[in-house]
Amino acid sequence: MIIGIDIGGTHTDGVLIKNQQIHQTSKVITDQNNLTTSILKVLDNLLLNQDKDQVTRIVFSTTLTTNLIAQKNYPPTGLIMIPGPGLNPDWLKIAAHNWVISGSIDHRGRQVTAFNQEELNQLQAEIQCAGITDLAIVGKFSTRNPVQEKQLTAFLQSSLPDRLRNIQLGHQIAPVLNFPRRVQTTWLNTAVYQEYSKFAASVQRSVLERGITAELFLLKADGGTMPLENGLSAGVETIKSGPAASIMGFLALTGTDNRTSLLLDIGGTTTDIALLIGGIPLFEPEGVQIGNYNTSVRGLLNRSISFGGDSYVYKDQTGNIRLQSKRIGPAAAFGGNTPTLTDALVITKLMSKGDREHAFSAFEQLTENNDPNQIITTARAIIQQFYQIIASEVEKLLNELKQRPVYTIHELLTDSELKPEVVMMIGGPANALLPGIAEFLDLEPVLPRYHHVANALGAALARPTLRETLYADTEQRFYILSGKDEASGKQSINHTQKNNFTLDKAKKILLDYTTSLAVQKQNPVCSDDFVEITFEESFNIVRDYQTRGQIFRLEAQIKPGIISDFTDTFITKTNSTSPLSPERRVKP
Amino acid sequence: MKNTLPQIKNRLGLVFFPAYDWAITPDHPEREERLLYTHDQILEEGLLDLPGIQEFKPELATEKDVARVHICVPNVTNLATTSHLISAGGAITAAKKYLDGLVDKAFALVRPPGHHAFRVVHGNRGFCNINNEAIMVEWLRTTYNPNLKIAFIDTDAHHADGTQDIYYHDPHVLHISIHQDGRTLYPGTGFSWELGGPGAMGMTLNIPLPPYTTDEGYLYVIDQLILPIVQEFKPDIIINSAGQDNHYSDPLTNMSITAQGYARLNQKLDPQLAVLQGGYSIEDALPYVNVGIILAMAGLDYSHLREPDYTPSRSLQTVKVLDRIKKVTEQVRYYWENRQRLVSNEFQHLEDDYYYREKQIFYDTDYISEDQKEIVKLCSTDNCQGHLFIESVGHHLGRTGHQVPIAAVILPRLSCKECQKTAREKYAKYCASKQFHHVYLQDQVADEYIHWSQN
Ligand SMILES: [Zn+2]
Ligand SMILES: [Zn+2]
Repeated sequence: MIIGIDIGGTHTDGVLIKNQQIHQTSKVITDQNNLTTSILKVLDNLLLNQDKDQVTRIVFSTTLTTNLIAQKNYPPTGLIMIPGPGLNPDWLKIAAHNWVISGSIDHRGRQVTAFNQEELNQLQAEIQCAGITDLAIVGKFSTRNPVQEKQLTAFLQSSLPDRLRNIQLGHQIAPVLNFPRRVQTTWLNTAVYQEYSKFAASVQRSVLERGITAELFLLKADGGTMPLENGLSAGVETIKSGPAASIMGFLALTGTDNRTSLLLDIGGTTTDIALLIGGIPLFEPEGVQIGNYNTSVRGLLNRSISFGGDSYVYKDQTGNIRLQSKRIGPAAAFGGNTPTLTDALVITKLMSKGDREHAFSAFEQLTENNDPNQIITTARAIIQQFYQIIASEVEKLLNELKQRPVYTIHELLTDSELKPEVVMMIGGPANALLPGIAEFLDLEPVLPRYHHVANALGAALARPTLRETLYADTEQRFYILSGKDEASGKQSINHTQKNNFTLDKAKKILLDYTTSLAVQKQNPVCSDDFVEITFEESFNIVRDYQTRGQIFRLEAQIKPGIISDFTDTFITKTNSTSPLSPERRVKP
Repeated sequence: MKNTLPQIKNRLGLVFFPAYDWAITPDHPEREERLLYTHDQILEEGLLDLPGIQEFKPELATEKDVARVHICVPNVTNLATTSHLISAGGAITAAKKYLDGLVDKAFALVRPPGHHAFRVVHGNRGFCNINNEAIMVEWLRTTYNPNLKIAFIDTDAHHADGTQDIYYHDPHVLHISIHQDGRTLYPGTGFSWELGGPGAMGMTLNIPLPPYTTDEGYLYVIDQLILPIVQEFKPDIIINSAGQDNHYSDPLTNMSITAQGYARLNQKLDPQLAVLQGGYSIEDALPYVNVGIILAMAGLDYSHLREPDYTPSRSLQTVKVLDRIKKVTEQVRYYWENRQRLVSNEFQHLEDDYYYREKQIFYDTDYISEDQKEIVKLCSTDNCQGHLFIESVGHHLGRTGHQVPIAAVILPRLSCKECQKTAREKYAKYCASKQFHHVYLQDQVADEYIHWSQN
């Protein structure tokens, strides 16, 4: 048995999968002050009359990190930057205690300026005085050479023994180029560490107390899972895991549909827009944004707009009836007082549930008109407005993707435009809105089964993901693997290896390394078949008309996907050879 | 705790196209990784995340965009490969984003460069095939406004002989090239007495600087000479042809400018558009110089920017070199102030207000020597820019040793009915004469580019 639990802002959803089928679902109100309680409530509901020993895996998608950051619920945390020359780093002083120290590494990983010992002594005294225990250390180009981040850590740990319980280093937390994002990501990860540890410990304890021995996982922003204990050192990776869960839910529910799909997840106050290309979700180009922070956390591409079923309808100064991007309360048809998008759906009979009379009277009050035909016309216009809002946001997103830069002639010439073929929708009013929006966008509609628990299902069935990089410089005879493992970091290429260190050799090192990490994640679904090289570049280093060496830049990944054993059950077939049951597909 | 992003004064568009899959030859300075380290530095600085700095993908320039500027022998397709069309297209994209009001300034960080490409192109010279910035300007004038007044300030260490050639007779384009003295560096031209054709005297200005000019000397020229001249000219658009081979670490030149110097000179020039030119110290200079230019264009603080081996003394100038710089400055100022009274001694006066000169152009990369006759008409009709006849022979010095004689008729976009008629007649005469392998008509008025071939 597998359990997926999606801890959302308002609800916590759970789904229990048994014999490759959805066996049980549960939904409770989220207690933001005590997420563990909400989790346990859902667990208890799901496991009523079940054999707990059979649960092998539980995956959580949680808003904890997002909340901690939004509420600034973290201890005073220090930040030491080693920015070297470049943009003035003052704007990056985001921590409670910030230090900028001298020292620098250049773009090829060469140490240009060493530390100044007096400065370090001063720094150590100030850290002691500040009384902090949590500290982020981030250097510019530390991904090319982490020596200074490591050296500083060693110095502080020996001069302030037992004080700094939580030191996190930029090259480990954010191993891609982009110093400001590395600073923000590393600092956020450091800041949420303590609270995250508490959460993880409490979840682990409570699950154990109920006699469940399943492996526990967290869903990351990239739609992959990581073991709960890894979350301790990588809490920041779980930001935006809600939208990721929803996208993975789509993937689970529509399995083998490889067409370019537009995904709409409509909630009460927001609608999330995402894309699947050939059954693979897209990534945010640089990293996920959270609040005012730009991070380098790899996350699934998602655009959120503040319109949903509870968006209310109002009359503007010129007397036009419009949809407003705010929620005042529930729909009139469901006990509220203000007319909403949902009421428009009830009035036009697109939605069969709800009190239609209440919806009518809310619209009557607003329009000062009690002609039912007139009100139906107004309701239709409101629904059209919503379609238009979605359509322009989709166009904006596609345009953005079209503008994504490329850096080789080959890519520029082969770059093809993205054109969605189908639109898939989940969320409360999905049933009511999908036919219309599909017609408006001129796309084929696909309504997945179980769309009401898609997020929890996405979490339950997500498999682990990885992204690792290798950067090699054969002139300077070193290569660097991303990550926190012992195998990662800077490795030297010895003199005899230098000429044999080819692109193929670099590829093999990266593939072996990534595979070993995949195996370490102790997940049976993670075989090396999933590891793929996604990016490779090689350049000659030429000086005075002589080739002195090569630079190789590679990236490997395990892309987000669904545990293969389970996909079949949930496929919504949409190809023409197998006719669709009406339950699965709504015709416009 | 703060999280206030650096304040950008100007919204800046970047067209970054390093062409990682293109080189002239594998060990040529103009090769794949020329912008690799610059790219790393831009990414690591996180410049593209700053609100107000936006990256755009280059478009491909069309054959017509190229024909508007160049007479390509035998044709555009043979000389402008995809990489050249992307580079020129990148410059067009930068200009487009600026004129559409999406950005306040734009920088085309593209390669290969273009400023050594003349109007007539028999092959590659000085790493350039087609002139990106001229193609951009002609696209601008065709699309937006034929009357645009343009000021080019070319800060590459080499004389911008190609751009100078293209605009030599255009009184609406002020072309200023500051470079290392032609007696000490390729292409060996760019002397202060090269001042423009008889109809545009003083609209071409050359400021040859002695080797080892530093920030101090360079900024002296900008402050004392260039800024007052540009102010007087009142251009609609200032374009910086931003070469980076003046840097003290450049392997091909002997100048001594620092990244700080580059940022400051760009801030002073305040161009709306910048187009990358040369610069071959790809590890030690380009990453810092390009970041400096980007910060300066966006109006961001660049005071923390410096090369690993920078010391403030690098910016200072010796008295002796500064004296020579001051002398050149005086000379050029004299030409500018007296431009109405100057008489061209480069051109011979023929009858009917036609002027004539001969010149030789050498294509170092493709090993071609060109003999060119230029016959320019000075038209008395108001606001008419006359017309131009070119007869040119390309001597291919390589194994084949063949010669390609061509003729071309150039009709600037601002030319009168009479000039248009004369030019078309001349084109027909050239074709009929059978003396040329190829005859070209570049009619900017009709935006029509015709090519006649012997076979
Ligand atoms: Zn140059
Ligand atoms: Zn005329």
